[in-house]
Amino acid sequence: MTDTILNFVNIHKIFAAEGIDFTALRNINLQIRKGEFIGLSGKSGSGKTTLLNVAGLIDPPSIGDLFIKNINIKNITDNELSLIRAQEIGYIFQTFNLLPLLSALENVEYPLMLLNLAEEERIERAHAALKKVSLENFTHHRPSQLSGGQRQRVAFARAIVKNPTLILADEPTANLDTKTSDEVFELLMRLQQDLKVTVMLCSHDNDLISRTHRQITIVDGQIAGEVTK
Amino acid sequence: MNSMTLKKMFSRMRFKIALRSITRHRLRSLLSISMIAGAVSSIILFHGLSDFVLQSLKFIAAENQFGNMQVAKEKYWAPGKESRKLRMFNLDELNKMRESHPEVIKVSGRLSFFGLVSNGDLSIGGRVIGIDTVGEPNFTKSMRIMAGQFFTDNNAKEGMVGQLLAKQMNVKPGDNITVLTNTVDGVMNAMDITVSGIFSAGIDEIDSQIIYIPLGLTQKILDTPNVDIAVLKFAKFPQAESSALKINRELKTGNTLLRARTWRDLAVLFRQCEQFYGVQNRLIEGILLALMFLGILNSVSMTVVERTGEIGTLRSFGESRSDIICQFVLESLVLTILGTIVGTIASYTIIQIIHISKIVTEMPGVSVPFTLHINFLFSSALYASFLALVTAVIATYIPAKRAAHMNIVDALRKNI
Repeated sequence: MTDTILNFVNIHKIFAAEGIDFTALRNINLQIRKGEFIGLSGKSGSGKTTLLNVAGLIDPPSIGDLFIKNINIKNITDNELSLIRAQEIGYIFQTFNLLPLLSALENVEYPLMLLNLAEEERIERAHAALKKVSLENFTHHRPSQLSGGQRQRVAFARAIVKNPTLILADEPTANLDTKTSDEVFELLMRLQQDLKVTVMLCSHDNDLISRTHRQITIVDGQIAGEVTK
Repeated sequence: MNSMTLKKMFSRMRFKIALRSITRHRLRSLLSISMIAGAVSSIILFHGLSDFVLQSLKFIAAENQFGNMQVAKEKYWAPGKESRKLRMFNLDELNKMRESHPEVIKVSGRLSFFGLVSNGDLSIGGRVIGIDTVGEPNFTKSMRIMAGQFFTDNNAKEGMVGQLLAKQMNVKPGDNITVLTNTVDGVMNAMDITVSGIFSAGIDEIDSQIIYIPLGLTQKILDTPNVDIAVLKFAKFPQAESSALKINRELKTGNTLLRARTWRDLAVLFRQCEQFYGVQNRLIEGILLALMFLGILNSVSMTVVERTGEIGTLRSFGESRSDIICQFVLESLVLTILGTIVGTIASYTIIQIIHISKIVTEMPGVSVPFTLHINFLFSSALYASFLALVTAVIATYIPAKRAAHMNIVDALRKNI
């Protein structure tokens, strides 16, 4: 149990839209352990992203208990949740979500500001993270001056720079061409192995999912199957 | 709120984002800065104008019309049917008070009466005031000598006639007029005096009915060595108000029946104007700040809508709600600081242009047109800046709070 980072216990997520309840997640029981590379697959609307959002503490479950490092998130405040997100979780989005006003280096530096690190340390770590994703020569480029693949690599650097316990990647290659998609995924795998960080990735691409260590299939909000390599 | 939280809230990164956000939407930022600058400069200008008017009225009231402080018998302030003699006193009665108040540097008397003023053809009722030009050397400073000159000899048979009264009587310097009144014992007395000059105090009430003559001459006409009031001149102007209570206490315990009143107690017009300008300025401030509030509210609300996706991303990184609010407030504060700097510089420039243009205008109740002057007050600039900052923070806080409480997942969807 000490290796368990996230523990989903009978999690349900219900959305109410125009008076009609829609259950996006049903009775999810799942343990995520340290160092795992988990691939979530499923059709559109199956609940992959919802599961990722619940895991990322940005969408609380409607029913059930979610434990992060044995802390039940029901018992903590919004500020404490924010702090856990700042310290433990790195997010990679399909649309990169880089801050357009900041350079690549500043985008990577930003999450470290939330940890109250000194500026020198922040810059040093941001440079190191950009070097890991081979963007050391693009530090002062704004997102608009970077290609899709480069932007996603900046997003990777931003996710890993704070040495998080968990990285959540929501369709990280969906907006990229096949070649770039492969490169980016290889990079993600390499980073996961180097940093021994837990990664939860959801994708439509079964080929990518098949390369992860633990593959979970979601159907209609439920775990329909699980394969561990 | 600990120092770490503050450090995070006001980090260089946040300022960087604030500045870049402002420069990203140049036109919108420029409009916001103009709006803030307009409100700040208007407040400074209105304060400066009212300050100039009030300072002018204060000078007229305290240096000319009433002096810094007046001391008179209680009956003088609230006359009844008693003999006028009972309302008069000798200046020597104030010797003791003067000894204990070194801040009183001059005491001079005034003695006035209502009488008929005649130029031979026309007789008009007027108020004749005897003043001591030696004791009140600043007396003439607030009045404009329109023709001739002020009398200097306390016993000269000369008088200064108010501009409107002189016009009514058709007299000019060098003309003789006769002043007719009763002595304090009720005997009819008249005296011929020469018009030494025509004055304007700038206030119709004075210019239309007052004749100033030397105090000694007034005492001769009324056949008395006494005065109605003593005019006290203080070393420093504000000492009149700060010493008033003490002087009155001493006068009461000294059993003199004399009471002191400060220029402010006596200057009804000044008090009315002060009250009026106070209300007017608050009203103008309220209107300007309300407009500024709505402008900033609208501008920040638009920014929140545009940056919803960004807010979602920041929240998913671990930004707290207060961090989000802080970022928006910081951006508004930067805009407001720029606006207040521009507004202050603009108001100073406008004031200089107005002074160079020498705009002549008239004021209700004032008989002489005056050159428009606006005082630039640092206190007003600080006050206007403070009001602008508070307004900006409140106007920003409302949409920023809404942004901070957005559902993170919903906000993230806006990135697509």
